[in-house]
Order: sequence, then C-alpha cells, then structure tokens
Amino acid sequence: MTRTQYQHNLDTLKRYVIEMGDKSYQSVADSMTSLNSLDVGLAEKVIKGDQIIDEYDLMIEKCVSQLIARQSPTAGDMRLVTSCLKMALDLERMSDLAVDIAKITRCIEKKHTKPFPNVLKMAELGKDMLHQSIVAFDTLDEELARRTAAKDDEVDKIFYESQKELIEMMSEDRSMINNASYLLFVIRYLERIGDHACNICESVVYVASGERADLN
Amino acid sequence: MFSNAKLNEKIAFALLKVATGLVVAFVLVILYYIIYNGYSAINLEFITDMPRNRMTEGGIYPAIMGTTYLIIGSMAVALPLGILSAIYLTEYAQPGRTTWAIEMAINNLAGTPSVVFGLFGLAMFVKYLGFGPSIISASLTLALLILPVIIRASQEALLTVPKEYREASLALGVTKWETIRRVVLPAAIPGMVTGAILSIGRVAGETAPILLTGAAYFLPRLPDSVYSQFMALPYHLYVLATSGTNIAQTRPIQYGTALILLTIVLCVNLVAVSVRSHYRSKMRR
Amino acid sequence: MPDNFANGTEIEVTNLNLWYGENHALHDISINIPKNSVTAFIGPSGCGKSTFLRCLNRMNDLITSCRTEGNVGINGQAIYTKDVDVVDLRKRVGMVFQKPNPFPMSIYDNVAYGPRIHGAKKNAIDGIVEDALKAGALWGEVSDRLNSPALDLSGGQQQRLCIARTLAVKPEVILFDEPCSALDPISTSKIEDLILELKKNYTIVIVTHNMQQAARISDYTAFFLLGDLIEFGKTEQIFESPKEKATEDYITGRFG
Repeated sequence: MTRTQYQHNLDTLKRYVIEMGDKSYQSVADSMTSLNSLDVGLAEKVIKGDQIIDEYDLMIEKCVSQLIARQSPTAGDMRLVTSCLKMALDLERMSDLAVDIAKITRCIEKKHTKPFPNVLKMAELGKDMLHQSIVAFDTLDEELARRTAAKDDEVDKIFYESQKELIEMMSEDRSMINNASYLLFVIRYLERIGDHACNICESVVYVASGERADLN
Repeated sequence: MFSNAKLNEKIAFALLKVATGLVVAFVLVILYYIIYNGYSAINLEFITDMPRNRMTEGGIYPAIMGTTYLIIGSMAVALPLGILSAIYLTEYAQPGRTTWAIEMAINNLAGTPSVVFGLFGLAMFVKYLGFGPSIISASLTLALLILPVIIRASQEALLTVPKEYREASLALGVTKWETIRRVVLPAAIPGMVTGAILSIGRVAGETAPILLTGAAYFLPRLPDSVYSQFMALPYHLYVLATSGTNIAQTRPIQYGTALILLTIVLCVNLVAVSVRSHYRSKMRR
Repeated sequence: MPDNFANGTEIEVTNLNLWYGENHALHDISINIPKNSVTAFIGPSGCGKSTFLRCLNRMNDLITSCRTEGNVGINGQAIYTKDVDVVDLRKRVGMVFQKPNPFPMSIYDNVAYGPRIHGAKKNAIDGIVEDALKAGALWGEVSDRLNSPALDLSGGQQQRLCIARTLAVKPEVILFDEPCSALDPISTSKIEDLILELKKNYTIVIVTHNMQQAARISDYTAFFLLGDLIEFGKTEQIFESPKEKATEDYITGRFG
C-alpha cells in the first residue's frame, strides 16, 4: 500500500462522518425521549449538543477541501470524498431537526397527552434508518443501504396517517389544537429525517458502486 | 573512519595533481629543449631553400612541402573512406558476425605496427600497382595507417549524436539517409574533426612507412608529380641524425627541422580545433 | 469497450502482439481510437503504453529485435502489411517526444525541415512555417526571431516548436509520448491548451504518467498494465467509476 498519508486522511474523514452520524443519532433519539417524557432538561441538552455537530460539519468540510486540494482524489476515493461532504450536510440537517423537536418539548403544554403511538413508531423507524445508513456507510454495504432506504415508504405512510389523525383530533376537540399542531410539526420533522437518511443511503450506493441511485 | 576518509581524499587528490604536473613538465621540457636548440637555425632561407652541401647547409623546403603533400594526400583518401565506413557501421550494419568481424579487423588494424604498413605499401602500391616509390604510394600507405583512427573517431562522433534527433526526423516521415545527411552528420562533424586532428599528427610524424614507400634520402627539388619521390620532415630528421655526412655539424639543422615539424603539426591542430569549435557553437550543445 | 464514437473511428487495432526478442511485451491488444478526440494511455512504467504508441507509427521498426503480430488500421488502411511505405505512414502519423528535441538549427529551419524534404515549393515554405507556428501557439513569441537558434528557446517553447514541426508535415494523427514530463506547470498548461485546440483538426493520442493530465485533457482513457490493456472507456467514467480494481488502484495511487 502506497500513499499512507492520503489513506490516513481518508480514514480520518470517514471516521468523522461516522462519529457525526452517531452524534446525530443521539440527538434525534434524545429529542424524541425528551418529547415523550416531556423532559425539558434533556431537550436543553439536545439544543446545546447541536454545536458539537456543527463543529463536526466544519471539520469534515475542512478535511474534504484539504483532500481535494492536496491529494486529488479520483475514482472510489473521489466518490467517498464528495459523498462525505453531502452526508455531513444531511446529518447536520437531521441534527437541526432534532433541535426543532427538542424546542417543541419546551413549548408543549404539560397537561396535554403524550405523543400517540404512531408518532413514536415513526421516530423508531427514523432512528433505525439513520442508524442503518451509517452502518451501511461504515461497511460500504450497498444492499443494506438499499434495504434501509426502502423503509422510507413506511415512514411516509405513517406520516400521512398521523397527519389525518391529528387533524381529526383538532376538529373534534378544539382544546387540542395547540398541541396537535405542534405534533404536526414533529411528524413533519420525522418524515424529513427519513428523507435525509435516504439521501445518506444514496450516497452509500454511489460510493460503493459508482451508481447514482434515486432511492427516494 | 571519518578522518581516514578525509586523509585518503587528500592523498588521492595530491597524486592526481602530481601526475598531471609531471605530464605538463615533460611537455614543457621537450618544447624548451627543442626551441632552445633549434631556434638559431630558423631563418627565411631555412624554410624556403633547398638543402646544400650534402645537407649540411641550406634549407629544408622540399621536406616541408613533402610532409604537407603527405598530409593532404592521405587525408583526401582516408577522411571520406573512414567517414563513409563509419556511417555504414554505425547506422546501417546489423549487429552480427560480419559486423563483428569488421570491427575486429579495424581494431587489429589500429594496433598494427607502422613498419608493417610500410611493408604492405611497398608490396601493394610500389610494386604490385606499379606506383613506384612516390607521393601517392606513401599517401595511400599513411591513409591506411590512419584509417582505423578516423573510423573509430567518426563512429564515436556518430554515436554521441542524440537518438532524439534521429527519432524526430524519422517521425516526420524522412528517410534514414536524409536523416543522416541533414541531421546526424552536421551534428557529428565536431567529433569527426577531432579524429582527423589526431591522425594529422601521425601522418606528419610517421617515418617507417614513408621510408619504405617513397621518401628520398636527398632530393634538392620539389616533386613534379604524385609519382615522384619526395623528402619529408621526419625522415630528413632521421637521416641527419643517424646517417648524415657530418652529424655533429648538422645538429642545429636537426633541431630546426624538429621545431618546424612541431610547428606544422601545431598549426594544423589549431586550424582543426577552430573548425571544431566553430561547428560546436553552431550546434549549441 | 467503446467503439461507437461521435466523430467516427480513426485507429483500429485488433489482436496486436509485440515481442522484444523473447520478451512478450504487448498481449493481444484490441482497441478502437476515436477521430478528432484526445485518447490518453496511462499505466505504470513498463506497462507497454509507450511501446503501443510507437506501434501506431511503426517507430518500433527501428528496434531490430522487435516483432509484431496483429492488425493496426489507420483510417481504414492497414499499416502492418508488406506494401505499406513506413516513411509515408510517418507523414500521416506524427509524433512528439518526451524530451523537446528541436534540431540544432534555426526556428524557421526546424519547421521547414519536413516540408522541404517532402518537396514543398520554395515560395510556399514561408506560409507553411507561419501556419504551423501559429497552430503550434508559438508564432507570437518567435515571429521576430525566426532565424535564431531553436535551442535558445525555453523548454516549453521548444516543445511547442516540435509540435509545430510535426504540424508542418500535415499529419492526420499526432502521437504524444509524455510531452510534458520535462516541463514546468505553466508550460504544461500551455501544451495542454494546445492539445485541446488541436483535437478539432487532428486525432490525438497521448501517453502520460500524469494522471491528472489524462483526466484534464482526454476524452477517452486506456489503462495498460504489464502489457495488457486492462480498461478503456470515457475519461469521465475511468476517473469516476473504473470497472477494474487494477485501474482503480492505479488512478488512486495505490498501485504496487
């Protein structure tokens, strides 16, 4: 093996993305926990934690710039480098969405019922997709990436169901309007998290095979 | 270890310096000796007049001219022949037994004693071809003698022409012969001239071959054709120094003759060197 | 392997084998090279790319131990048959070498060298020289000193002079054998720009050790390894998603 420094830089870049993936996953998970248990403390932690993820985003961007400027990556390396930049963007967005959910925890009225099962199910699915997409990236497992992206259909299905349920809820009970509209945002965010996970899966397929797949 | 290496370096360097110094010293001593002893004999009469009084007086004009003729004659034969064979051997001949045999023959020719060339010239040109003892016999014999030197030098010169020139020309759809004529030869001329310089010194200085093929012991006039006998500086010197009528009395004439011989070789070399540097500067490489 | 080109095919090679004595240097090479495009040959030293390039104008004929089998056609005309005039072939397929190698003559004489020998009319030569120097992107720099020695030019100018010298013979194909490996980056970019300009009128084949150069200027790239043609395809595909692992290892610098 030649180009040791280059390989080292590529390994570092990949590690940053995986670490950032773990942090984003943690954010999403914590934000949902805080919402479920109406734990404002945890929500504050998620909001503060976004800063670390932004730092990761910056580190990855610097790393990519340096690699392009100094090592001229080609072929598989080039696909990895450009995809890392894209994935960092997706992860950063997911983390922002987690912050948005955490902010809703802060606003939501304590007396109100907790999020109903469909929302939790969506959250589980979104978390799972995020986790699997990062695993697929780590192992460059094209198959896993495709399977993971396929789960987005279910997320979308639950999203529309939940939307309907929430609207019905609001029209039946006007006192629910405030919280239900918050929950409408939450399911919207979760749906978006699923989309970003799909983007990551597409990046994984591109890195692994060179194919520009549309998995969404 | 380190200081040892430094010491060795110093010793080696000193040895090299001493060796070079010795060579220069020898040359200077010889030059000084000849000039010191010979310059008194030099005057206009010495170089423009015939020898008189059994070569104890007068000049060495016929010998100067004889040597000049030999240089011109042998060069006229050996240069074209040598350069053309060098071109054939370097550019065209396929490596193989025949080429190897030719190369070996040339090497052996270069190592053959000059007196053997003299004997060959005597048998071949003087007797068999019936040229008699003459300028032409001696010139041809000397041409053969210097042929290997000229071929070698020309081959070396051709080989030092960068392969890139040949490739560039051939890649333009130019034939091999045109490539040699227009690119390779002009670039090789400086090296070939060097070969010629070396051989001129030999032609001017060789005694044994001309002794057997046409140099006269004493001939107080210029030759009237290429079939005439002639006088030549080295043989004249030899005669004066070994079998003249009064060796001691002609001492200054001997040194004078040596000085003239040296001067001629030096002048020819100077001309050749300036020709070479002219072509070199034209080449810029 | 691509063989359906927008501008048509210029060079067709089928099952070309080459030996240097006992050494089998090229194995069964088959490739079609497109017209009016730049095709780059890449691969590690000794992979046969330069040897293959020299098959295209039969420069390998100069090496006595070299023997070839197989077919090479240029513009539909076989070049390894007995009745082919090699000298004529090399007029059609010009070559620019690794080291700039202008002749030790004036700039003008260098460019005029080929046309003169090929019998161009005396009064036409001035025009040919000017056109060739313009096409070689050198005219502006030398028009006022055409009679000064070519070896006084800088390395990059010398190389452009060599290109102009080749253009003066009016070839169809120009082979470049690592034309920039002896040049600084600025001169290299000038040559690269020139090559991109030349492909409008000529078919260009370039051997290069500089993979970024192949990526920058070529339309198609062929990767050679140990005398085999491993992969040939559009440059964008070769540098983004090569099909062969060996190609990927080489262009990402992980070879060996």
